[in-house]
Amino acid sequence: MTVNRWGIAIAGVVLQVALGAVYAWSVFRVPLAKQFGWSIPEVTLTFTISIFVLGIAAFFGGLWLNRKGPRIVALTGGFLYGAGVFLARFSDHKLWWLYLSYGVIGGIGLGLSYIVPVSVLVKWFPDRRGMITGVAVGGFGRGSAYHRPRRYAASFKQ
Amino acid sequence: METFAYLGVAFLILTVLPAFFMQNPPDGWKPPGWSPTAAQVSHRSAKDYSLGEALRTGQWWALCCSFF
Repeated sequence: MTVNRWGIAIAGVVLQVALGAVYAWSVFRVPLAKQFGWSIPEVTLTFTISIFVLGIAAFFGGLWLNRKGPRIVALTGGFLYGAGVFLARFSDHKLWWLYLSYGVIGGIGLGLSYIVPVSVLVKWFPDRRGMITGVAVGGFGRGSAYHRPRRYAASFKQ
Repeated sequence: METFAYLGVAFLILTVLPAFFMQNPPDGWKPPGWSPTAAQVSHRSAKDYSLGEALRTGQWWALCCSFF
């Protein structure tokens, strides 16, 4: 089977763009605080938890990736990230549930997924290691640009 | 709050589908017609460190502190 490494690069960027949405957490700050009477620091702690858990999960994801290969780590990470964000839907008046779903479950998913495209793509692009690492990680940063406060405003009671 | 439900489903699709494409090249794979130049070879460390060995280097702890 021939594999086009540019196809893998595109898949890696799509994955990173989806993950990068976490950096846009602040678009939810005010709507969530208003709707449920939480303070801004209380809502922001969700992001702190998510990024902290990302760091821990990425460590174990790296060990796992070396043993079992990238696909299973990326699949598990993607599933947990999607599930964590989805479950955040049920955090009405339950701040701890928001921390658990978006923060812990989503954070584990982020950490596992984040490392995979970087690890895979530097192996496919030994001739352009710096460029491909930038493309992959840049996708993560770009992901947040697609989330604008106004787009979500209607979903929350102001 | 439905926003989280929609986003969750979208993120699940956008991460799980690309995940199927995440695979390493075969051992020793190189882009066709490419061989590393002397400069590219010299950028690569001659030694691959294990986790335990890396933890005993000063550089690892310096990086760890700077990221933190």
